[in-house]
Order: sequence, then C-alpha cells, then structure tokens
Amino acid sequence: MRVMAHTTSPAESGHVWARATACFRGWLDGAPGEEGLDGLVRVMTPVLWHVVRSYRLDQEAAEDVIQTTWLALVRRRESIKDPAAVGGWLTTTARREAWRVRQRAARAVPVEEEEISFRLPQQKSAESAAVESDERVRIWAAVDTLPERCRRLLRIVAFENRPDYTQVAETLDMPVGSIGPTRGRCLAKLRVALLQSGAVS
Amino acid sequence: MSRTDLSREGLLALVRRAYQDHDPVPDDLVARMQAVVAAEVVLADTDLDYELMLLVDRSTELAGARGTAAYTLRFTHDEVDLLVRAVTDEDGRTRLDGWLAPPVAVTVRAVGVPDEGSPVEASAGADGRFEITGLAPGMYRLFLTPTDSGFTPFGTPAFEI
Repeated sequence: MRVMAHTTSPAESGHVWARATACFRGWLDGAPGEEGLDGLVRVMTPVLWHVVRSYRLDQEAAEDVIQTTWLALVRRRESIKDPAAVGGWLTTTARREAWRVRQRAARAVPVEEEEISFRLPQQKSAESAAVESDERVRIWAAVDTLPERCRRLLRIVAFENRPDYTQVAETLDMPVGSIGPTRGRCLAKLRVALLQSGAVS
Repeated sequence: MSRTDLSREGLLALVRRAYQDHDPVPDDLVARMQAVVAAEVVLADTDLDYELMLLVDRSTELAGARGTAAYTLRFTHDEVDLLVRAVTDEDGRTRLDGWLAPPVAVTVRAVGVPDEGSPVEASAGADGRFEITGLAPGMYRLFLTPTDSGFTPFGTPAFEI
C-alpha cells in the first residue's frame, strides 16, 4: 500500500524553527511584514494551535491562550536573548498558559472530556471522499485509538521542537521521569495500531 | 509501493498530519493574530504602560428577543475584576456594559484591532460602571486608565464582537 508521500515534509520539521528564528531576528532588526513579525506569527501560530489544543481547550479558549502568548512576546521580547530560542519560548509560554486556563476551568466545572474533544469532521463531497484514499482515515483511526495521555503527549512532541520534559510533565500531570518511557510506549502502540489497521505496510 | 516510515520521526510526522487534518487551525486565526500583534507593537512604542488583564471566563446567553445576542466576559488582573456584558442589537451594533470590582473610577477606551484611529471613550465613576455604545462588529481591546494616577492602567486582550 502506498503511503503518504510527504511524511517528513520539511515545512513541518526543522524548517519551522529556522524560519521562526529568521523572522524574529528580522523583526528585531526592523524588517517589515513577512520577513519580520508577520512571518513569525504565520509560521508559529499553527504550532501553538496544536500545542494548546492538546490541553483540551475549546476553540475560543485556545485562541485566547494563543493571543496571550503573542502579546507576551511583544511585551517581553527583550527577555529572549538568543533568537534561536524564540520557537521554544513561544510554545513553552503557550503551554503554561493553556495549563493554567485548563486548571481554572477544571476547578469551575467538572468537564465531560468528550464534550470538548476536537472531532471536527472535515466536510467533503462524496466525490472527493471517494477519490481520497482511505489511508488518512485509517491513520486517524489509529491515532484515535490511543489512550488519551498518549494522544496528548504525542501531539505535543510532534509539534514542538525538543520540548523540555520537565515542563511537559508538570503541565500534563505526569512524573518527569515517565515522559520519555511513556512517549516510547505510545509510539509503539501507534505503530501496532497502524499495522493492524492496514493503514500502512 | 513505498513503505511508511515507522521510525520515531516518521510516526511523529503521521501524528502531525493526522491532527492537521482533524483539528485544523481555524481560518483567519493567523490574520487575527497578526492584527493583534501589530496593534500591540504600535502600543509598545507609545509610553502607555499598562497591565494586561487576562480573560478568565466567557459565557453566552441565549439569544434574546428580536435577534439580539448577548455574552459576558470576565477579565482579571491581580485583585481587579472586569466584567463586560456585550449586547448586539438587530442592527448589528453592540453595547458594552462594564463594571469593575472593586469599583475604581476610570476612563475607558475601546480601541479597534486593527486600530482605525477612532477609539470610543467612556468613563466609570466611583461605582466602577461604564457603558460604551454603537460599536460596529470587529475586534476590540479595552484600555482602562484610573482617574487616580497612583494606579497603573489596564488593558484587555482583543475580543470579537
């Protein structure tokens, strides 16, 4: 079975962080628009979205957290001494804020986890659905069968650039030492689920 | 026939793809964040030194009669709470009723994001209540400057009405 041609698109891995660094540096040097702050917002907002959503926030709350993160960057840009650290600074700030918002929400109302889950079925015409290989559906199904802690951890690890495990542990309410092993087990489960579902060969 | 990369990096790339498909970034989020950031940069270049309030609660009321809609936002910073109730009438204009707890006398400016240069102003007396009317749909931030210069001004994040 043929599988996604671009499993390691450069736009999704190292490129993001290099671009973020270049734009941040550009902004500090006075570069306008896409070579500066607009470019930084464009490349990092999607990353922040996926990180923040792993904290089970609804769409509006997630957007508020992302906005708070960007405002914090403008207000505290001088605290980022090394431009290469800007991506990590943003994801860490967003993660902490998401965790804080989530804690408060949990105190206020016991939340039904499934109620705010992020199933957003993509609207597709019957034709395009038929044309599309069912591979993506199966891959999602495999991801979706993972235990919740696996889904949250893998989403964070997938979108962030070498996140600090101490902080990840704190905000996922997991012991620090367990993040590495848990990640390994979750990836192993995903591998098995993919193979069993026939999503991959 | 290609084989999927089931290495750690390959699996993480599949996870990325899966979430990009199933929980995509909302349309316009990037554009909205660019507008927010641009406005904040302009603000940072002025001498307005304000404390950022954080949105802690948002509730939507059932739509009222004749197509009106209302919701309430609660912002907070340290010991100060700001409640804002937004009511949009059938003509699409929004009125904001705000109150500060504890009550503080303030001047309030509603600034559009992006800033079109015509902020709407109001003031709250010692009861901490204010009212802003006739706002067109869009994103706004509120800036509250206490009449007593001993207090630091506050600003909310942008919210959409």
